Amino acid sequence: MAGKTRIKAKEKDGVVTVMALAKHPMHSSIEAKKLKVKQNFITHLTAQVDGKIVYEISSSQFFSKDPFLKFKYKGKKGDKITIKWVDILGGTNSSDGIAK
Amino acid sequence: MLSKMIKLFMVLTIFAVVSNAGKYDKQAEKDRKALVKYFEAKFEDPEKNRNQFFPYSTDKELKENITKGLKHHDFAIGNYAFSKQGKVQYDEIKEMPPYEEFIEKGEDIYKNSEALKKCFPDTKIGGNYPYFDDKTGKVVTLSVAINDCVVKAGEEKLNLKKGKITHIEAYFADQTKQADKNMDIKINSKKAQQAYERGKKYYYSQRGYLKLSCASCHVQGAGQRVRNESLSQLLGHATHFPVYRLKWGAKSKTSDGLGTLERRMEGCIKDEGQVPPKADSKEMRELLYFMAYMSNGMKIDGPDIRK
Amino acid sequence: MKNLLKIFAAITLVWATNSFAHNVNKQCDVAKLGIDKVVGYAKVHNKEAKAKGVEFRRLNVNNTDLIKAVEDAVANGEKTVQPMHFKGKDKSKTKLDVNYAAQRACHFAITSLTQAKEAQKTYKLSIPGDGYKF
Repeated sequence: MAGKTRIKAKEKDGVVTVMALAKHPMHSSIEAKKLKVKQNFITHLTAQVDGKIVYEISSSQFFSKDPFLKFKYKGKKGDKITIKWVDILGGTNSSDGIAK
Repeated sequence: MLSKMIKLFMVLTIFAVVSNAGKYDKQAEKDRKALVKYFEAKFEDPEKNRNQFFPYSTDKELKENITKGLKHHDFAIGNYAFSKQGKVQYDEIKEMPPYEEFIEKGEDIYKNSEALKKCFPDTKIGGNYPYFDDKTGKVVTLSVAINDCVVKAGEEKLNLKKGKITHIEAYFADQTKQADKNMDIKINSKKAQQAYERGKKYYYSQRGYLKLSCASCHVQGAGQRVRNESLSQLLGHATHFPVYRLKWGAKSKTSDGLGTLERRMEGCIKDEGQVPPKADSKEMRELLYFMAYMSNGMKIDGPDIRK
Repeated sequence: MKNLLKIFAAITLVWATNSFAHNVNKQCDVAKLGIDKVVGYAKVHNKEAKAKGVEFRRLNVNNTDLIKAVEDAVANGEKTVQPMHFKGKDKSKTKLDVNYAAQRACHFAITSLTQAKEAQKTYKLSIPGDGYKF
């Protein structure tokens, strides 16, 4: 079901491009009804480097299963990027990646 | 004088043996080359050649959505080779494809399995299967080989279509891809040639409630549409397995959308309106043997994404 | 005497081959032959089709299961059939009148065989390099 977020990050000319594949069923209300499960989706997600937030989103049913994110921030090689999310049922996940 | 004659005799014998060794795949090579020629001719200029190859397509579709001038190796990526809209989506998802975690899982399984390491000391073997086993007189597919290996070592047998076996195959395919190897199927005996011919016959025979042959859609029908789905071409069909089908991934709780070639063929034959042959049956194995041979010389690019 | 024997043998041979001939019009007409005979033909021919690996599956129902559903309905005096889904766990969504289902099962069984025979002659026509011209 929900699992760790895969992170790929590459630095070039002082800008780090991050691609992340989160693992979450992201059931909309209609899907949840059809599958007879509790509706569940990620509501808030952040990416942090050295305790500073470099990317933040509020999300809802519009994301489909296993959301894919792509964003950039000003950073350097070796940065440790931590992606945290919380979903509507209170589930959470925190995963790390290194900028190469 | 005698030694000269013996030498000549040896040279002639070696020549005879070598020239005969190639003769079992003569028809297969003819088939394969003709197939390449057919698809290159078909997609050379779809708009210009619409009467011959695309009688049911609209002007708009031929002008705007079909790439022309495709050559042999372009055909490896299925209908993304010619469908412009599909290619855009394909390129996007290839930035971070959902099969990556399963390659890692497969590597893990392999490195922790003494049996697999013994049966497959070289992991770059994705392009060598299926092969014809002269001893047993049977075609051996990669799925069958992996399963036989683990069963022989006393482990539980694997499902030949999905799950663990696809993770192992994904690892092998990825290793083969990274080593830049091609599909390299051999036909080295009369019996192998006959198995190839049977597989070929199965592919081209009409079957099922819908009386379709595989070729109806994937040779003569390639490039045309069934409702909104562009039919892919036979050339390059076997290079990208195990395949990650987005359709399979969506309904899997673990997002495991991988499937073997056996799994995909089962679905295809079902779509013709016939009960499909079992994954390790003679018909399935020989069908896969034929299909893989048709993609000889093309790069192994598995695992890959398809709809 | 010898000639009579020969003629008799020839007639028997012709009759035998016609009895097991694959003829949808002669063997699948429920109104003419009655449902039991049609189911009989369907069973015999479908068995051969299954052995040859050409059994039909339509709308998630294997022909074997369609035949079984018809047999059960006839035994229980039911007017409609709902055959099993090919996966074997639940019933399919197909609901048919029992006479139509029998005729359909018979058609499927015979056609799969005649089609397979026809394919032996026609398959090469679509092979680039071995019969298909382009």
